[in-house]
Amino acid sequence: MRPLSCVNFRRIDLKFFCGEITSINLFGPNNIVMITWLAWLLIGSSLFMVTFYMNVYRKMPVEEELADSELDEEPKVSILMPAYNEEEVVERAIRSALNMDYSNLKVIFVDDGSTDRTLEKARKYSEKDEIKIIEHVENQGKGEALNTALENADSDYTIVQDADSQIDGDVIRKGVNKLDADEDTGAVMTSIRPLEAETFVQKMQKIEYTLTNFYRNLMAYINILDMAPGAYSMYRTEEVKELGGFDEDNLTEDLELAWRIKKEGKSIEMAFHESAKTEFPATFRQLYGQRVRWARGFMSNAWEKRDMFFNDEYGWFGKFQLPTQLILPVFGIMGLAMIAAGFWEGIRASFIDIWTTGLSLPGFGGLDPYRTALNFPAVIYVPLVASLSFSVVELKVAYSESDSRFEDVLPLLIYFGTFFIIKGVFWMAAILKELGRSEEVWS
Amino acid sequence: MELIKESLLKAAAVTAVVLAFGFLIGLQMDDARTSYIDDRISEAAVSAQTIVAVENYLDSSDNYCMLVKEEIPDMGENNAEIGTTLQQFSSKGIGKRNEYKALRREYYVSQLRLYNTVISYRERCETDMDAVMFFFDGDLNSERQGSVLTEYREEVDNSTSIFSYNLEVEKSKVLDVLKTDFNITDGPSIVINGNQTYREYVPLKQLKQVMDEVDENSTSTNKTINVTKVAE
Repeated sequence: MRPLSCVNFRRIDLKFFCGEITSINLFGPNNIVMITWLAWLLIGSSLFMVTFYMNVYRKMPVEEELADSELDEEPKVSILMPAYNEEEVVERAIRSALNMDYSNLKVIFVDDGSTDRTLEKARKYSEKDEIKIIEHVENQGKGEALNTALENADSDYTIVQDADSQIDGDVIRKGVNKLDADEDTGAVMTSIRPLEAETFVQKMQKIEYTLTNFYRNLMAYINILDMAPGAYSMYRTEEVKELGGFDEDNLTEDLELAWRIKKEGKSIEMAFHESAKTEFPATFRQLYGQRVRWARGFMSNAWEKRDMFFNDEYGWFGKFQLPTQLILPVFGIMGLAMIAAGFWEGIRASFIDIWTTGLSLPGFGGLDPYRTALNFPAVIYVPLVASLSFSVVELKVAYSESDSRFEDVLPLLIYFGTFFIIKGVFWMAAILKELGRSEEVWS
Repeated sequence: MELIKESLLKAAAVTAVVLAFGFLIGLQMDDARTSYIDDRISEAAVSAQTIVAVENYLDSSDNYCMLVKEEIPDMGENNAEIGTTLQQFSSKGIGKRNEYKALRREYYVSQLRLYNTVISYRERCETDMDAVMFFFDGDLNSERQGSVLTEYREEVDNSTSIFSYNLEVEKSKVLDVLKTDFNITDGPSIVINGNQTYREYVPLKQLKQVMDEVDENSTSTNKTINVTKVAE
């Protein structure tokens, strides 16, 4: 139903107010309650999650970082480094691994049929004892490349490190310490940070990862962390082999392995103050490709391991974490749909106007400030402002905890204003691709 | 784990408090909104009643015409704003559905009063000020007709008064009487000066022609509708 204002007199109402209120009016004025409930669901869920983790943060001991190294003897560690067309960054990744201050380390590099100079560049380091270079003549996929590397690993511990990542500091010892000391720990991950954040898209991701790292640390503390990323994660070699290695048909083999580890009743820990630096997608197109792949991987893993959802056997991981991870994208898509519908209605109203009467400049009537104030949909915006305020506080804490300095105001505003919408777009695309069963290769 | 349970409970409590706060503010805003519209409708009613009351005491048509000529544009503008505001506010209201329904009925009565004033003014003062009743529904052509009328009033003749009626709103006696009187069943339909009815979409070009013809033959009999009969 078109709002009455649209058929009344002042063009300013037609052009401005109709567009502004259409998200409410779209489904008919009687459905305001439904729209309000929908908005509350989205805002309330965001507020709930922020408050939940803020409470975990408040209760978390100040020094929960994994213990510094006090190893008498450094156990053997392998770094599995698969690569496919990474000629620009591969040397940096190999150098960073070889330069780690850890004596008993071997890099197992697998070139997965690269068509560029990745292999040639990696071979520059082949004379070193600390690196073994393996070649796949044809591209087989990341899972296969990792399994090839794993077969060649005879170490106590195994690290997976992407060829576009870089590590430094005491990250290996901290992981070894944790895995050595606690048999219930199945994997140790670290904070993920950008190698550089020059483009706008990278700056947005930097903000996102600052929050994500903070959340993951809290998740690890309450034993619901569901991820051991490919950029850097450490496992017990034998354990990964016993679990069957990496899933070769999976778009997100790292997530799949992490869930298998959780299924075994083990925890995933995080060395929050250590980091692996990795290449963030520099353009929206690259980001789209990466996130759609991740979303598809999540969906296929969720389907394969659906028995874990709402399953008491896996504790809060099954009862809370997995359902939450599933529901949040759904909310993202709902938010996207609401905003898209609002935009559509506004565009439609303008189109009908232009179609009917031609293009003309809008008239300007006097605005009554009191009436304008009353028009404010407080029932939605009051909780929204509260939710955003809580999120800002949490972001500030996340920056402070990760010893990061806040630099970019504009990307932050855009992040808060649009990122969940963009994520909704990624998830929509992923769902459509899954439905269409489109092929995806790792890059 | 106790910490998770505790965090879940606290998060649920905080979320409930914030949403409840938003809801209470929303209810307060609803009160303020309905009061605002109510006041505006009352003002419009007083203005219309003033004209009717004064009409009988003004012995010369010149005085009456002068008074009405000054009042009608403001009343029309006020009436349009009430309609706009009513629609905007009712679309944001979380409760008060019945209040908004009642306000809409009052608004339609107020529109009818103004319509009668315009028609009466046309007859008595022999002016070419036009009154158009516009009946619309959710049909695409209704939206287009709304745009055409807006454009006409803004760009062609801003002395024309347009009275819009939503055929899909809950029962209103005013609306029922008008629908019966002009044999209106669907939107868009327009009634010009109470004597020319179009039960289809009228494009801008055609509307201009029609209005020009109406002005040339403005001696036609105009129909005034008894407000007291239809007001609830």
